[in-house]
Amino acid sequence: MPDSIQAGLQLGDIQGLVQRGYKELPEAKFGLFQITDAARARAWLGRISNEIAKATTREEEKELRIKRVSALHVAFTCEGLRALGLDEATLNRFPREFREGMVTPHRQALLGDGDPQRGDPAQRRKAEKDSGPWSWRWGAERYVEHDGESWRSDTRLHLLVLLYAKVDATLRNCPANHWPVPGADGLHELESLGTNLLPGRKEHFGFRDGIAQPHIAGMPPKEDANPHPDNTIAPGEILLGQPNAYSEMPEGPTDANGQGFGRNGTFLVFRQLHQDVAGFWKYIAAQTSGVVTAGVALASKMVGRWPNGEPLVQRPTAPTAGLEDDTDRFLFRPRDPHGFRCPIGSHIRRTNPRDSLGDNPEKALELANLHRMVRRGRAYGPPLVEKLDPALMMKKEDDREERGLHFICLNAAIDRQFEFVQNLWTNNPKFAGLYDDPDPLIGVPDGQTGSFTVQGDPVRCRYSDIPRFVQVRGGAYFFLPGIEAIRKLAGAYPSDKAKTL
Amino acid sequence: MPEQHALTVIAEVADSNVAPLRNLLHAVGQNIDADGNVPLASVQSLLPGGAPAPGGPNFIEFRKLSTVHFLRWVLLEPARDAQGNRIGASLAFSTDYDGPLDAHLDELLRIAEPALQAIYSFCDPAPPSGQLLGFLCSRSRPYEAFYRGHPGRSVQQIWGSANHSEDELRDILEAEFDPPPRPASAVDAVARARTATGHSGWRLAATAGPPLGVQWLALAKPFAVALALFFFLPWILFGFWIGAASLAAAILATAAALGVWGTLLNLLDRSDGCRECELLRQAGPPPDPDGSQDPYVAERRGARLREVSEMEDQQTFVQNQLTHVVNVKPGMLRLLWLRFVLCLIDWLAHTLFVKGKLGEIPTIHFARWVLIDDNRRLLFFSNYDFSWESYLGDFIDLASDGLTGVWSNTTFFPPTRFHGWAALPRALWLALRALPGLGSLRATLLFAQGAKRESDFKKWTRDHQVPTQVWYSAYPSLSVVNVNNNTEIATGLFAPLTGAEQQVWLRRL
Repeated sequence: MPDSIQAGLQLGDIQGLVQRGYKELPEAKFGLFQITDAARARAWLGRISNEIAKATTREEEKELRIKRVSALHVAFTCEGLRALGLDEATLNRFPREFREGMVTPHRQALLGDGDPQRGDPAQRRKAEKDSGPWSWRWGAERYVEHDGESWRSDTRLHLLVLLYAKVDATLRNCPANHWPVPGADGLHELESLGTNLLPGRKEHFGFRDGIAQPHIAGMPPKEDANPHPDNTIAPGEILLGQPNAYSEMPEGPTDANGQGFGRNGTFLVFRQLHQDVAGFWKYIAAQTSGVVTAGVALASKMVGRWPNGEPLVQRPTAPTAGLEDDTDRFLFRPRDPHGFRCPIGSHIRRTNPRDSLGDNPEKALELANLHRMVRRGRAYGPPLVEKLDPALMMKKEDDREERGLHFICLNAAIDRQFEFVQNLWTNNPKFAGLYDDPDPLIGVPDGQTGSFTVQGDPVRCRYSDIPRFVQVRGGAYFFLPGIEAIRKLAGAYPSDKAKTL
Repeated sequence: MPEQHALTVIAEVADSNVAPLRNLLHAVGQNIDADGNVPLASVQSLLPGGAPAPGGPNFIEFRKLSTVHFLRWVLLEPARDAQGNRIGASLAFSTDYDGPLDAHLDELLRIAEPALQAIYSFCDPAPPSGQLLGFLCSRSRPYEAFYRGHPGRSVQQIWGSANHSEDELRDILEAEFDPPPRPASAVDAVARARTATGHSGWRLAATAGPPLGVQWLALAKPFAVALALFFFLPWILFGFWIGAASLAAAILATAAALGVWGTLLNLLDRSDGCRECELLRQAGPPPDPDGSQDPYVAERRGARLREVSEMEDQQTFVQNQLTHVVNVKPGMLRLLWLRFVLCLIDWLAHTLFVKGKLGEIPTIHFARWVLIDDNRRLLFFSNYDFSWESYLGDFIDLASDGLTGVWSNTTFFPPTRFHGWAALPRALWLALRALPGLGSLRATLLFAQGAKRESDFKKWTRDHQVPTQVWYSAYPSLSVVNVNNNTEIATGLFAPLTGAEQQVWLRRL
């Protein structure tokens, strides 16, 4: 291992969101801001730079976890960094994905956000909402080029503030230091996105979420976690200025020794994903003639886990009553090489294929770990039914409520991690030798349908005409800087000190 | 069994014709509809005056080319070689086709002569009317290496609904098992499949030949020759021990020669970096009819990158293309080594890598390396599955040694690292262990690193990528794995299968 890993990470410079998802802080809101007055915004940043939650050692965390009532984090778009006066030379060293943002025609095709190649723009806007930027609530703006209209990342979106709290009151009456004061701090609020922690840490379809997380080498693990080498990734897979899986520095504004503005920062991918929960269970009910056990079984096959989070690989026929701790320590190859337990095309087998791709399981695991992300998503909107009971959801009509997931992930190389997984593993109907099977939960293209194959003995069972259940409502690529970099943004730019970075 | 071949035609283009030709090709490439047709109306205004118009509503009808798997036209803009000498613009045309060549060319002219005539009228010299065939033949270039992801499969076998293709066969089988009831056993299932597809047409498709197997004889030939020359011959002439000593000497000499060669190249590498930059600085930007800058200069990177990348990863396509052109480093030593490595790859591609994987990479339909412009530039064409990001990732993670072996002989490749003489024993051991697999070229290269530098390698690849103006695929919705799986389904259907084989076969559905 490179020296810097043995020496440990500079925990005090890393935003705590990299280390933990704040299970103990069930309330959260995310604010999207435009910088209207750079000087005031810098002053605000300077004030809150001491309030931002940091990564901690295991001992510190034991104490803090009980005392913690709120946690604050900030992240910036490329336009935001520019608005705060970060110099162009430094900005140009950020990878292209971050500089261009989530909305370009090419990236729309990669991520499956609408179909940019087809249709008349005017009609597109009138048509039923899809995942294209023309339907987004935030994150995209229309602009007119010489040869027609196009969509790009919203140039007014500069800043993301993430505030987590123990009780709802903290969010509503934020301490002055935590939430930008309208007018006074030079920040204009574009959107405020609420969250809703669902029972059993589930997402809206009714399945426990956020289980598989990679362990970052050198990062003190959570109290109850026991990191396994199979699940451990190099720090540079998440943090800039640290060696990645190729023993290289990730692309970004750091030098060969990892020093510079990018140090200890990471890219935060944010997507607001609307979930058509009633549509999902309606499809399931139709395929299983409304029989609840069969419906839950089929939905679980699509996910790869039972609603309580237990993997099908370990529990192929039915979930246990109590939840084991060990819900993430498993490989696919030894017990389920052909997908008879957990189908090849199921959601968790695509988003983290572990040892299952290719001929050599060890190599497969190594390669799959080149595409891991730290996930920090939170659900939003009211559940379709209380307690997310599948039996009730299968019968419930759509209530037209806005609900879904604020998908948040952290990675050091957006192209090799987030975009790769979205494009090659979830959207790709040819994943792992399949023919017409995109991810049944999140991968079916707008206006099209997919199929889902449940491998079996003697022959597979195929479910067809699966519509799209998840639609994008907004999204952007942010940079979640190290604490020191935030201080520099707040004070040193655009002064001469910038050059010493 | 049909043989797949590669045709590459390089024709010179006058500077003044670069822009109009680019516009025409761009229009052709952007207007290929779902049926593989390019409507005449979409390119009419860009056609050169005086060229005979194609009869009918379409400029070109690609789908009618029954021998073509993939086809592309790429305009290679004016450039400079590694010494700073000017290289004129040219038009590269390539097909991956079902042989024989005569039949392929006949079909090409029969179906697309007016279009070809129009396109090639921009070339310098332009082909006189009626002499297109000779024009193309005289400008065709041999490849150094050619890889096929599904060898032995013709376009007609792979795809189509009226010709009993393997894909259609699979569709019928899948439909057979979609409605319940599910068969109780593998025997029942196979019997049902056979009944469903029992008529003679399918039997014909299934008996079109098994998929190509590893060509053990051809693979062993060089070793056999070497063994005969250095072992058996001296044994017969001078006795066993002399033979054994001779073989040992030959192995050591080969290893030493490769070692010396590697060291020399490596030493050259260190000086190359500076020299390339110096030459580029001296030469200035190459002449360009658009007045645009040298493609390797940073300012143009962004625009070029967008142009290249927006032609990739189209949502409606499973497949993708890559065209890559780079200068070969000057010197005979380089050229010899490059040819040796490519020759090795070609040999392996025709003998060992015939089961759908190039090394470990399972996503390449066809790939070829061609030396052009009097061996001053190396051209690489690839038709692959999925995104550029995944393809490059596979290159780096699974084939970095082979890549470094080839492209370390071209300019601006990320620096290679010499493992030192201490690596020699290990390299020998690796070479012995790798036989007959020879999966890794590292053993013979003694130095490898360039392509392991992930971000440098990706940047370098992007820098030398060229926009592919016209690209056609005969079966755009099939991956390599799909094609080969279809073949296994078709050939297994009427073959006698044991119980275990039946289970394996059913899992292919």
